[in-house]
Amino acid sequence: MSKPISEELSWQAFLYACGEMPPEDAEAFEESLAVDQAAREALAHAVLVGQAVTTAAAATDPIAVPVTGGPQRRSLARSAALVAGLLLAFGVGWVVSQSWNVAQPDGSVDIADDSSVTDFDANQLISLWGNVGLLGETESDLAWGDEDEQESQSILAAGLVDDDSTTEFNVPAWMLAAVENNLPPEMEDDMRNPNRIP
Amino acid sequence: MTTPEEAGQDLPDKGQIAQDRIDPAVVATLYIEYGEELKAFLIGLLRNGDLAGEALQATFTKAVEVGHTARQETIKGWLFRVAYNEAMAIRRRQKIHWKSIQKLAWSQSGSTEAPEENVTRWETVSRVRTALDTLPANQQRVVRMRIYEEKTFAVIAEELDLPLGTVLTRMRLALQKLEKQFDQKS
Repeated sequence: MSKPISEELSWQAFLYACGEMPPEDAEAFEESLAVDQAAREALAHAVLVGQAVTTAAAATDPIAVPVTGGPQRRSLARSAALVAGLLLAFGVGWVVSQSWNVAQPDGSVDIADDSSVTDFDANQLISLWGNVGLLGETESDLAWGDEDEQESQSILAAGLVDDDSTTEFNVPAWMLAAVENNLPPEMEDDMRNPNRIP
Repeated sequence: MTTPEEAGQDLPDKGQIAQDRIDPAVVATLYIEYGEELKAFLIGLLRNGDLAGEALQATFTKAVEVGHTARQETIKGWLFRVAYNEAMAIRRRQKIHWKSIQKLAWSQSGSTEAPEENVTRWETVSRVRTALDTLPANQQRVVRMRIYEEKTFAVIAEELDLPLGTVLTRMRLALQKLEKQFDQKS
């Protein structure tokens, strides 16, 4: 800064930067900017201070980033995330069970070398996990809280208590179809005979 | 037709041509020294980070072209004057009226910074945050409501059930303290 800005000029510049000046005063201030370097520097200073205060205030605000959509949308998002997580767990459990069935003491199949199986499972798991991200929620929104715990209990209860006692919870048909139709031939063989020697 | 060489005349020296323009390295130095302040000034005038960037670029393009005509001791004032003219030209072209710029200038910056600029800025922000925390509660509240929550002074006066003059006074006193911290060199 060339020289100290007067307090009055600093205040006028702040009001102008805020948009709180009456139109005629703002026009006069703008005209002064054409010729008065002190007024120009005062305006720049007001903007820089405003930016610094905004950043400082945001840093101390416990809820710094406002979440759009309201509590209802967040609740639905968390429910969807819970279901996606359960499906993911189901998928992981299935993969683990398959790898256990295959890796028997006779060591007939080295699952690590069977890249088609690994890729298949990885792609399915990634697509399951990716559906969570499509909701557009941030990591903080997906964080588990007390209300989520209550919600999860009600959802699980709703899923378990079913008129059709043959199902524990509803798995989408597309998921089942994907699992059944996309198995590589050797996986189908392994499912029928885990002890098969290749 | 004889060439200048055949006529015994010297060809224009490339160095002489270069003397008609300011050294780009000098312009770069000016940008480092005044760029942030100029950008803030332009944001104050235009209330739009992109337009401010456009005007800033035009300003330093002019500096390269005709900056050599400015006196060294007044180069900062010259840059600000050119920036003002560029901003006014943009406002005329974009037909930006007063009503459209009645929003907070600093919320329209939308700029990205280099990491080294962030370090300096965060030191400043840290000082300002300390100053903000040490403000009297009534002043702190007005500052947050005006600058951070972007409520007008009239709305603040209504919500706090205070006269408008009281709100303005608290803001002005707070601003004095905040500016003092902002201006301190680390």
